[in-house]
Amino acid sequence: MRTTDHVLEILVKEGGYRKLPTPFKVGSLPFEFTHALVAGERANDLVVVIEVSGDTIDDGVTRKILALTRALDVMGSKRPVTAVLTSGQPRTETIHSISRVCRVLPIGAPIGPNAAEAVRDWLSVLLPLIQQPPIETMLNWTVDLSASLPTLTGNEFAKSVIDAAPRGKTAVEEVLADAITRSVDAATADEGDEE
Amino acid sequence: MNGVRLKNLTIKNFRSIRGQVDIPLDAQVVLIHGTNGMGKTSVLSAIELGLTGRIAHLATNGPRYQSYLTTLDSGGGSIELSTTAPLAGGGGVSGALSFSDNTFIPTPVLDASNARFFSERCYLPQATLGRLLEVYDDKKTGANSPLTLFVKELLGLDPLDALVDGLDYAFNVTRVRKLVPDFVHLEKTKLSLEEERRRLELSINDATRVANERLVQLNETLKLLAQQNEALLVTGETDLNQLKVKLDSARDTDQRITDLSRVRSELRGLQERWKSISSIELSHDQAGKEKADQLATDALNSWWSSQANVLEEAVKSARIHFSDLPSFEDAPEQSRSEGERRARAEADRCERLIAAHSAASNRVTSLNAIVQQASTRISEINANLSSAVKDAKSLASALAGIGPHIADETCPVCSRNYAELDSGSLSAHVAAKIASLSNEAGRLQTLATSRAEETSRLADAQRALLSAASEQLSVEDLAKITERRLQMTNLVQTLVDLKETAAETTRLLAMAAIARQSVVTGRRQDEQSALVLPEIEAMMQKVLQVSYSGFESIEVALAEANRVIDERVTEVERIAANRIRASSDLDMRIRDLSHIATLHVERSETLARLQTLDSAFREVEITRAHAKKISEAATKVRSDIVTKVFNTSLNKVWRDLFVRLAPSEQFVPAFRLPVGSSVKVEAVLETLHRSGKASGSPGAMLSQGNLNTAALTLFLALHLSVPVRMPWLLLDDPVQSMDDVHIAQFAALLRSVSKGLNRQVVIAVHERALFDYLSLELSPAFAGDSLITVEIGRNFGGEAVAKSRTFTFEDDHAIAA
Repeated sequence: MRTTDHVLEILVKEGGYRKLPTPFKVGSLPFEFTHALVAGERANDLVVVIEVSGDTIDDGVTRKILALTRALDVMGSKRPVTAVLTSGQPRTETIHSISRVCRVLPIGAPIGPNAAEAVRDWLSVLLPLIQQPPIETMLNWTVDLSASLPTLTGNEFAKSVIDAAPRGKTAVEEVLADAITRSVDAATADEGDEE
Repeated sequence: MNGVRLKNLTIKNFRSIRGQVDIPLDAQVVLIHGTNGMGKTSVLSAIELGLTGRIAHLATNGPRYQSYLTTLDSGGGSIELSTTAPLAGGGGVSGALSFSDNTFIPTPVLDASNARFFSERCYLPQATLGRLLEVYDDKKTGANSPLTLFVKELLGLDPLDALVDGLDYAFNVTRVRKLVPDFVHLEKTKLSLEEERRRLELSINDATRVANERLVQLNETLKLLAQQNEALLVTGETDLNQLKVKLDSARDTDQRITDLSRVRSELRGLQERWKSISSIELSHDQAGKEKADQLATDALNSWWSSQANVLEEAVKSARIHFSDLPSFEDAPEQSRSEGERRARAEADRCERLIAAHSAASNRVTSLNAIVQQASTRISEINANLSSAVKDAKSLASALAGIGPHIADETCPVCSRNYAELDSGSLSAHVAAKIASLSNEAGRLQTLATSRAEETSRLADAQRALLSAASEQLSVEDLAKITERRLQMTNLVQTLVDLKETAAETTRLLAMAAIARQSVVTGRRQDEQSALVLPEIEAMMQKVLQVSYSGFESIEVALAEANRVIDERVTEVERIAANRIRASSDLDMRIRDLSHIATLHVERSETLARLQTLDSAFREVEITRAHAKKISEAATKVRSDIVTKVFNTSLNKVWRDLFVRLAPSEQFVPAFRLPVGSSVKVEAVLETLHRSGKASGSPGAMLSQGNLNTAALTLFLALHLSVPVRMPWLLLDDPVQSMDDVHIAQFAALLRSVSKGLNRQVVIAVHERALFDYLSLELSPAFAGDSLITVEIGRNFGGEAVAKSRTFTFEDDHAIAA
């Protein structure tokens, strides 16, 4: 799969982007990029994907982007533009000049085992934040603890220790001390009678 | 909850904001712009003050900042802040603060806990951003580092910590002892009980051994007894008490011993008496004694009438002088010698008196001579003194008093001219007269001294004379004493001559007395032996059942009787001794058995107690084992939770955020987790290479810009990791050292946070271009979305001006989609 396709897939599937026809029109002007997408419901980003190939002329890319943003300005649009450059790497000056008018993601063509991840990392800024489940819901230490102590289920001592835990270290110590003291006292009580 | 927004802010004379500004905040995003020094930060600080009543990052250095809040020379100011609704936990919708140089009266919107949450998790002041990584990388404070505290608070690990720490005691007996002091007592008791058990077992063995030895001895003793009685043998089944009663009841031997002893002592008495009689009897010749007595008496009488007469006379004459002399009849020699001694003493006394008399007479004579001489001399001196009629000395001093009055040759006394006499000058004459008178006075002095000496000598002589005279005897006394001396001397001579006679008399007297005594004794013995013989006969009959006449002599008979009695006594005593021994052995046996029984009881009691203790120890061990298990489980659960939270939540969020801002950075910051189930939760910061390999700390691996990004995303990650208490995020110029690329990413991130996660974002920037860019990027993208931009500036009067614009969603038709 080419990086361009990969980008397209991530944006559409994970970002909820909608692909624009090629060429698409701003006002009455048609613009042609490798791909063009707009964000879904809660954003109004416009993403253009430019596959940089051997025959791509850097100045041409620059011109096209400038023309696009200019057209959007003229139309009074507030859509933020992001240019995703895939496959080849354009010259630094090109990136520099494009980035004056839009967000540039020079992904290139990552290779190696982490290639997919690298692509996603580049694009993540365009993707919605995935809210992690609140930590509270991940935590239920009493259940975890009980689960890891199957042999002590129903054990009176274990129960009182775990009950005491939220009251702090001293409370736990007291429960332990009480348990030991009970055993000790049971033995030494007889002693006291006899002595 | 998510609907609550900050609504409106009114600031008056606060720091760099002079005058009053109203800032509407009721929008999803509030973008504040102002060039440096215009008061952007003041606006955000004002929001913090309205919400919390303090400026957290300044308050760490004390409350001094409170007095610098007022704009110079404005006298005082105020902040009012309102929210659209109360927070989920309740509380107000408006907060205020009024302040001046001296006053600071906050009435914040949030309570203390929420205020802290806001300051730590919702508001990132510029000052904090730079230090954020340091704060969270501070390992020095160990278990109480901000990160650890955050993690603990976030995860609610306190109960697990409490379990791990509290059950720590169970892992070591020493700690158990410390926790439960009674446990030490229990251990000691066990030791002592075991000791007791060992001791009891030893005692039982010893006692059994001793008892068996005694049993052998007892049976031997009983065997001896059996010679007189039926055979007895003690075995395990013997009723010892019955046997003892039997032994004790056979008491006839005692009576026999008493009887035999009495008979024996009577026999001994007889023997003694017989011996005393028979020893004298050897020289028994009563008639001879009578005769000797007669002879001695005759000899004495004849001596008495012839020789002793002279002696008696002499003693009698001595008794005239010395009436207390011993009587002559009783002790002639003593009377004589005593008379002689006394007579000698009297003669000596008389001699001494006479000698003293003569010495005194001689002394009287010489003393009389001295008295006579001294009297004569005193008369002479008296005559000399009377010749000096005038008191020479007083006249001389009178004349000396006249001396000064003699001016010329005219006498001051008689006024005659001394020159007429033609014998020198008057003053010379007077001086010569005084001198002569002084000499005369010296002579008179000497005379007076002599007289005193002489008088004293006279007095001494007279005193001596008196004493000497008293020692002299009168003429009659002298004659009497002289005569007495003569008598005594004669008496002494007489008595000395009679010494032989006296001795003989004494001897004869003694012989007569001895003879007389011998006669008397013999008579008494005759009487006694007549009494003893029948008694001896009775005793012989009693003991031997034969008469003493059958024996060679009475002594032999008595000895035989004695021997027989002794044998009998010995025999009976032997039996009695055996019986007593058997009885006492039996007692010992009974005691031994009861002692052994007691020991057995004690041992079984000890064993029971030991069992109780052992079960207590087992219970404690079980409790400890449980405690250990729980502690270990708690450690593991805690470690699992920490790992889970860090890996699945915190690190993931942080990475996500960081990658959004710096997609090309090869090193991603992360928390490194404690390896294994270490006791303490301590995370440190590190970076991970994209390949997943751990690398150095962020400070070492990241550029300054990305370090800033790391800090900013750390803040956001922490903000997103905790449950949302209030959906606000305030950022004060967080992009100062970011490059353009990052700013574009940052804008997208802000948008995601605000629109995707429903946070109300308030952000202040100083750069105009960025402000414009963010206005564009954050502009409303859907219905209900909103943006307020505020530009802080100053009018010509120097008062702050806030120009705000509100943007709402407008459908974007630029792209024909």
